[in-house]
Amino acid sequence: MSTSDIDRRQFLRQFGLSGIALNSLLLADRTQGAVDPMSPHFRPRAKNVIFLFMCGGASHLETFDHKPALKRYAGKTAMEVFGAEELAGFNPEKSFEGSQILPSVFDFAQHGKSGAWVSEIYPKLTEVVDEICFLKSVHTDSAIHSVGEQLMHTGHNRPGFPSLGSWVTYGLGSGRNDLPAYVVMKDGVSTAGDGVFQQGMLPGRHQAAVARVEKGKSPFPHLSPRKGMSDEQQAAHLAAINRLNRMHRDLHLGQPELDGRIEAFEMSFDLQTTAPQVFDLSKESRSTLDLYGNNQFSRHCLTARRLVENGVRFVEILDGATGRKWDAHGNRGGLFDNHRTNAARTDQGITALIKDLKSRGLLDETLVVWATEFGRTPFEEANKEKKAGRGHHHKGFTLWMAGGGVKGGLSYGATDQLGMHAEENPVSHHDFHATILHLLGLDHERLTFRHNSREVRLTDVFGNVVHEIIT
Amino acid sequence: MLKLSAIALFANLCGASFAAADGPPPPTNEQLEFFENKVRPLLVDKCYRCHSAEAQEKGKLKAGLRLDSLSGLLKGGDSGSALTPGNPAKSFLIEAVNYRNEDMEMPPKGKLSDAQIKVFTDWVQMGAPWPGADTAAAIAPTAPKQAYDWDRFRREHWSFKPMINADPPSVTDASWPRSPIDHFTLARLESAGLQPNNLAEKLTLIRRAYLDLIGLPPTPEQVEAFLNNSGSDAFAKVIDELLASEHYGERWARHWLDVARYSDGLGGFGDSRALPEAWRYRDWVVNALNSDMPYDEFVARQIAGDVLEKDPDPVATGFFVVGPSYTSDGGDPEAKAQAQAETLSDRVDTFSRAFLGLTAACARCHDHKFDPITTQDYYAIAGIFKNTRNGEHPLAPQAVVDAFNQGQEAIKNQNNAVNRFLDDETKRLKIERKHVEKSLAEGPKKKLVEMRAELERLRKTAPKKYEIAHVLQDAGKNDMHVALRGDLRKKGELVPRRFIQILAGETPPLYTYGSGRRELAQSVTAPDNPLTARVIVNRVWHWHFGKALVRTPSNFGILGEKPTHPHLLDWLASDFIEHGWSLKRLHRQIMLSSTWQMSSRFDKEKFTTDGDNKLLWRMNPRRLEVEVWRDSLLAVSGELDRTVGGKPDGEILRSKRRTLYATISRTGDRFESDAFLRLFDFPTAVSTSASRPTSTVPQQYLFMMNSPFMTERAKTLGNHLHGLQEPQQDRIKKAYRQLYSRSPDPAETELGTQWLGTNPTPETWHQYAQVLLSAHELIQIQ
Repeated sequence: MSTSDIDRRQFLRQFGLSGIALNSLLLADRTQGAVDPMSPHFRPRAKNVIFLFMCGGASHLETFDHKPALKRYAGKTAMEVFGAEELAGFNPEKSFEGSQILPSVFDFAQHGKSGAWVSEIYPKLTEVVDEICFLKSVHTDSAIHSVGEQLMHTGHNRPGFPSLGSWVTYGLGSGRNDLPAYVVMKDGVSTAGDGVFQQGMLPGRHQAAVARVEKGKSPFPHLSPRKGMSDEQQAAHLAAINRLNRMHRDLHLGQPELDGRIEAFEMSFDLQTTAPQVFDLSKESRSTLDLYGNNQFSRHCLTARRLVENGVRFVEILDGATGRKWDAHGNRGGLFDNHRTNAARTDQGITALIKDLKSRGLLDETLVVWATEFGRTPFEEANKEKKAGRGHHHKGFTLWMAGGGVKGGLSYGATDQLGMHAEENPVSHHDFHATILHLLGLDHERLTFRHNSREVRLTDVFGNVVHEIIT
Repeated sequence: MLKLSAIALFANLCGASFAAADGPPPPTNEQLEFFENKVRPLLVDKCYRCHSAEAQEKGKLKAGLRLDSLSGLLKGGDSGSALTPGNPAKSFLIEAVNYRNEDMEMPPKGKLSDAQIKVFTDWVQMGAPWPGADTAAAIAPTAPKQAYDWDRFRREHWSFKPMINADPPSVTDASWPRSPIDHFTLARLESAGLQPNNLAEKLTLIRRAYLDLIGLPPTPEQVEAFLNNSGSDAFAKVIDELLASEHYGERWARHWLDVARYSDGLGGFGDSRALPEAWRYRDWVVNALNSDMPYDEFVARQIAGDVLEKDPDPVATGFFVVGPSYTSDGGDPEAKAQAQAETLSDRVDTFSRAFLGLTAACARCHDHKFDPITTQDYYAIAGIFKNTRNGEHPLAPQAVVDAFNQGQEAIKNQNNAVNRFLDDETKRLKIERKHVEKSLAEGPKKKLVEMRAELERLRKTAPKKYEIAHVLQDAGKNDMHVALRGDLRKKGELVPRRFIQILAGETPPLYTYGSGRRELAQSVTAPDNPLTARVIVNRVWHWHFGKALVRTPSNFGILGEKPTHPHLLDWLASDFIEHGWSLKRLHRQIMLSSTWQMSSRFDKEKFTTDGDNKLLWRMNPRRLEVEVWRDSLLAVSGELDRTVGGKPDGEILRSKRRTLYATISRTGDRFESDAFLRLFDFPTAVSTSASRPTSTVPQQYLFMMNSPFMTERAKTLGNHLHGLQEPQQDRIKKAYRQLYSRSPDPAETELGTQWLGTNPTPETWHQYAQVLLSAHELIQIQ
């Protein structure tokens, strides 16, 4: 218990406040950013989330959605196979004159006890497929990158709404006082901008702390004490401020926010020590470092494990944010080179993360999510390039989850034989969000925030929990 | 639900049009024959594959539309009703077969022949006779649909009622009130058995007044002067001085800019443009407040400044243009329609909440669930803004604009002449265009050089672009269709532009002048509009007290809070109108009241009765806005640059100008200043903001402890204190007066003495200064 806690309790006792008054004090405190976890709506399966987001639209047909029938249709045009209504809404394509059905450019094979289909570009991931639950019938409302990213993060198609991570910290509070509850690591600014992981109308403390993972660099701004100041000096500095603030508080009783601020000041002091330690990967064993491999995405994955281990609720890693690297058009390297490179960059880190979490007993309480804004069309894009590329496709694609109470080795839902429409057990982005919240013990219909006299929700007025994938 | 109300409304319209003729006559035999011989075969042949019971059974029904019964046609599908009997121009069926709407060309496989189209048109014209169906019964409901019980709302919901003209009530303690305001607040306290706090001490009061009105702390000299003035009007004089300061406009403009969701553009995807001239609107607000522009005029100019009959003031319309204006980054019709719909939604939302305290944007897809605001109301207002565009207003005399245009024209002409010359030479020499320059003979070569020299001269001498402001301009005068489910491509009925019905009455006058904004401004500021004055006096109260009388300042609807002091609110609003909508007068009135001057002291008994201070037994202590805090830091270290107005400064953490001048990106993620401002609860400029939260996060204190901005302020202040020649205790005292407008307590002096030791270095002073600058007292208002 921190000193300020004792102070507050004493203060409350000293005045022997009635229940109602006490409530109003605590309520005031909550809106000002109390760090105590709220009680979940029902039994949580997971405590933390690691959200891996592939920017640009990873092709379901080149990764996990095996569609041999495409070979039979190869050479037929999209317009022969699909009706005009089916082909509407695929930004940026306007017409599909001459677009031909395109079989997967990679070979697929079945892996693990579950026999999950994985394409050749993820050789390492095949080792952990039995931990993974594939959602193969996801659909959203937009084939535009920015809107798709926005939908997958906030559930809404325009800017200004809280991100999934912010909702989670709002719902569950923070596991600890000396680290931010929502941390983002990224390799650039994605199409929709950094707005996709901000807190929208939720109080400021639910914003993501964007961390920099670089050896010898401080992960957050203003984290290092100014030059020339020793730890002792800083401790004295803090002690002096606290003393002044307590004196001020004692003169102005009945202002609980003053206690909250004394507490936050202490937290910030602790953060200076804790954060560099948590972000310091040199503490990891050689074998762990080798397991993850040595690129920035891997370092983000390893840091993510360290963060959840230390009580951070929601960690997000954006891959390929600069230049939406997964956007496999013909003029962007083509499907073959694009997806091979991207998978090679991320395969080891993701696999290591799952193995590492499992071996430490953390996978049960940590939900790992692999997501992207949309999949790719079963046919070539209209503007044919030398290298084969696919267009944006939001009507049926694949995401996956692992750990945190989902059934490993399951493949849920399906697109039709050509990978076009989510046909069997469709899962909308709202369903996806509702399910993640459910796994954390939160009811997506009750997790609301009153803004402009409206109850804002992550799932707007939609969303059904996909109970079938929960253990 | 939506579909039902669309039918009902449609029926309502038709009901009206047929009512005059007592309903349509029953179809004649010839008409029924015409249907069987001409119309039905066409329907069967061309339409039923996708729009019939059979199609529905096979799961092939398109757009939810069935054309195999009259009710099916009338009910319509996803795009609304397909048929208005007697009116081909209003029937989607006719629009579709004529291929007039590129999103709905039917049948899709090929347009019907003109003769076939005529069959459908004639049939609709004759009233759509359908054998066995009673057209009149199908389309004419017995009573027109009543969306809301308007009268009841006007009678029962406080904010729609006319103002109550209550006299200030009598009170027991006659010595406390100093203004009519106090009669209202004291009467409520007395009836709850509570007493108001005593008035605050003079030291607290002067600091409160400065921070409240100009957003800067008083200097020790200003405090001294006030303490030494024992005249009864001493405080009134301070207020008058502060209201006359140009810093008043800076402080209060920022309040309004929260409401105006002001930013310098850069709103991320779909709205990523910078608005480099947005600051001119910001300065307009500052100047309007400094000159005490009457609030009704302040409102009218922001809505319609460019089209006012008297003293047009286009810059004021920046109010709308500084908001988000979405474009689609995809370009397909769906994305385009969505972008336009979102932009219009911003306009309706900002307009209705800022000026009227109504959440009209909720009625975009369906009638408002709680307030008497119909979808028609939404599109009546959206239609006004659909007739506008974001434009540039030259801030230069016409002659300067003309000179610039002529200069550009001359450059263009000369450029064309050069190209024409090269084209002609290409033709003459019969060579490829790209080789022509090398192939020119001496004469033509010389001519080309001369022509290019002239072009260069024109470019150099052309007048520079004159200055501009971002403004709203009229671009049409059309009414707008209801967009079904909010989708602009799905057109419902046409709604005339007019004011919101609950405020405008049963038969609201239609707007006809240009976009309709001039008339809209008149409706908003009409003295019998019960909302406009109430909304602004409530906002002003909120900004003076930290909490408003209606604690949802932008929502006076059913879901908003009720006023804690309804009679006071109405008294303030009526008085405000009566005295020329003067904001400065309102400030004076509020600040001279005992209510505003009360101490913020905690009291257990009162707190237990009214912990939320709804009865106003004390002043609400609260954290200062980030702007006031940062400006205070610069002011007390003696570094503040007090220049008023001008371009924004993106590097606000390196700048010494007031925080008002920070560049603000709408996404809040572009500049260093954005991150800093958001950390301290600056609102996101995506939508109008009525009040700010006060969050407490450790990152705020990391900023206080370790940021260069803080250490620099500490250094300046520390050097100053170190350089003074007085004894240490006096320097500590000076610091306290400078920072907190008071002398230190013995314990505080002792802390300072302990920290500094006997022979402090400059660094020791810096650290002490930083402790003082980071303390609560500098960020809290009592």
